[in-house]
Amino acid sequence: MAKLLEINNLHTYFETKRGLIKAVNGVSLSIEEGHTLGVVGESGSGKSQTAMSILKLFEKNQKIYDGEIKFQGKVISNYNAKEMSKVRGNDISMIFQEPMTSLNPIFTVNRQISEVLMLHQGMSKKEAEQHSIEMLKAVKIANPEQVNKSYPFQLSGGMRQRVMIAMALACKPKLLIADEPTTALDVTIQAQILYLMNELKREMGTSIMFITHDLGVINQMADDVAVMYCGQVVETAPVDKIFQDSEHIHPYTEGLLTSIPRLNTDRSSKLEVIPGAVPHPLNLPKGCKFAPRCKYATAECRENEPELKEVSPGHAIRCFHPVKRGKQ
Amino acid sequence: MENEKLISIHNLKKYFPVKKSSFLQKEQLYVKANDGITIDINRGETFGLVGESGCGKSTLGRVLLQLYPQTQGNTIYYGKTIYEYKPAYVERILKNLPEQKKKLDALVEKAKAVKEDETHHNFKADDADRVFHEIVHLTGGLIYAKDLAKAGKLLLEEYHAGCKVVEEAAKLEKDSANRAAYEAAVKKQEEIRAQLDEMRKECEQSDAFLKAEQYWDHGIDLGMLKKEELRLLRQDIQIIFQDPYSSLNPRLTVGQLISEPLVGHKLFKKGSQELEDYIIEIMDKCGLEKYFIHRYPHQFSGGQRQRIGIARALALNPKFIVCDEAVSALDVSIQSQILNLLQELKEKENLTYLFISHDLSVVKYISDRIGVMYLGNMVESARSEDIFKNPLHPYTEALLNAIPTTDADNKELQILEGDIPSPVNPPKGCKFHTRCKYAMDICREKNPEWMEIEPQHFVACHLRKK
Repeated sequence: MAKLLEINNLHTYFETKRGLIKAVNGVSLSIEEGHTLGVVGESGSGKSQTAMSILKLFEKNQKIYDGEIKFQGKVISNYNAKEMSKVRGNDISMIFQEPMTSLNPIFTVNRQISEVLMLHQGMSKKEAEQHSIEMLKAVKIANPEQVNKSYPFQLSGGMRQRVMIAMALACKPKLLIADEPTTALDVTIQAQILYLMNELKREMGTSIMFITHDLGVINQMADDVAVMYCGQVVETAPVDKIFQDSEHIHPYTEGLLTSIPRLNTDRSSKLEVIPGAVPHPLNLPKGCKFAPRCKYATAECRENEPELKEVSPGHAIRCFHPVKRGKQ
Repeated sequence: MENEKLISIHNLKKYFPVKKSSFLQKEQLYVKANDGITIDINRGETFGLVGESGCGKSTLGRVLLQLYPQTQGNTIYYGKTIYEYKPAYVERILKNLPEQKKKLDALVEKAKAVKEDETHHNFKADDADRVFHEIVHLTGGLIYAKDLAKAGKLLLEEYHAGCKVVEEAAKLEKDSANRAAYEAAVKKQEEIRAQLDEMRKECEQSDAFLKAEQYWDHGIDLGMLKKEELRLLRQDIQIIFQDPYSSLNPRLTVGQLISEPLVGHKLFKKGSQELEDYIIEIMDKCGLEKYFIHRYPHQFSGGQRQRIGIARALALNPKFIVCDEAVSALDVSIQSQILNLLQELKEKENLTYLFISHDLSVVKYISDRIGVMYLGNMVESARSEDIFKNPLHPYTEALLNAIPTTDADNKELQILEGDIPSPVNPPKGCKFHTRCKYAMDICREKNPEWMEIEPQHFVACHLRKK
């Protein structure tokens, strides 16, 4: 299958007074056409910054130091601002975590969706309004005409996120980047939104890069998974391999999987814990970044940094001693 | 100790008034954050509270601590008895028992006059109910005594004798020579109690009498306490907040943060060596290093800050802690560390938790019993295994089906359509009927009752009515 997006050895750094913050530190990923890639990791693992790098939504002190991003075979990581704005919203669009702050509070929904359509598709105001209502219908909003005329504060969190999705999909992008789109929502609303996204993906054939910290959501949504830690991808695999049937697994992934209480967790047993916390980005450990928190770490791990190595077709792990599954 | 109540709430309501949109608007509207909740929380258990945002679970936690004054209902706390705590309202009620009874009767009359369809915004029935419980917790069945003045006097004497017993017991602990005085106090209380028993026998043994009799339990009615009394009682009841970033004062060091409640309750002198030793002991319990004591909150990660919040709550040796989404803002690996810490502390310090969270798997892991809330009402409550094995309310069922899991099977999530209705104008009848797939005609008309279907398993749903 064709690769829609390829990221090779991407490095995105922040320049600060206290030194370089290596937010994205050698990430390589790829997303296949029509697939959903789930990106998991704790806060500060660089998952959002990887997404921001794709669209070059950068802070002033942030830039790509190394690596390239290829979209449909073309290198987009060296596009200038003008070229980039043609890609944004048209070929690649993004949904953010906080639906309240990512919509403009002083414009109606119609104006915000139409803006995208008029800019990228050259539609007239009238056409855009018509299309905007259609999009709202597509995201299963019950009364699209009325919602189209309302302001963001008049909508609930779930509705706002639907509007965000409608806006993101208005130009039928090839790739949708969803950065924690359901984290701020309730479980019942989350289920509605996840269902909707899966349905739209099937209908429109859009690829999705789905960023979340919730492994349960990944299991629902993703075809492939990339686990990130300290600005690096530590494991990539098809979703079933991560959750069930791979022979080996990265110690961090194992920690993540065992530290969440599941519905069938025995209450008398203690939860497995990954000790310590994510290291400070200015003060990254030598060798494997996960070594200080890893219970399997050896002297080798503290000295040398492991490479992302394929352990079986489609499944790569960045670890010298991947854990055998089932061995606790 | 297993099933002894620590906190008992009865018909608790918290309404927040909504600003009138114009001066022509006659009816005052309310956000009904808690709309008649009745539960008991037992000593040493963790009671989990789940529900979507806006269902009133945080409000319930705060009303329990009386951080918001309750609109209606009674919150009785059993961690201390009235004899130990001596709240001012006890004397006030017992001294004027005949007048209090008259007031109650007048309220009951008014409540009867209210028509069925007007009860929507009418507090009269609730008022009568509340005042009844306020009195009955002190008098028991004697509220129906013929000679109320005499009953009040006797009860007051009994109360004073009880206080004396507590005082003497405290003295005895310090100095065992005082045994005689203690025994005399106990004897006096027993004598008065015997007289009270006499009076009880004289009363008509009606159903109403027996019902009122069960309430005579020396618990403290939190809603009746004065501000200063409440402040002192908060030594026993504490809260851990959701957001570890905004709940700590950024200008205080960790040491100052933890010492604040200790000094405020006059347990230690400010700046004393004992205080510092104690703070370090508490920090150690909560997994904080000793040298953190002079650091400021911004120097810590989210998980560490939550530990500071826990240390602060724990410093006063509370009996009851409300954990309001205490782990929701944390990353998964940190979340499991904090959950383990809470669990450990509970066993060591014999704590009782009210654990509020929207994350069902976390709640299931930590709770003994779980209550599910929807739009200000409790819709189901049961032991935590029962809720998950055998959910009786359609809303609980929908919630359970909406959680994405990491297990291989059940990949398809079930969708609960629609949003939560506005709590200002909740649907008539069962509040869930607008989203319920089993909704029947009766659900649109009548609010379902809170029933015990199986032992310890309560539900409010017309479907389960036998």
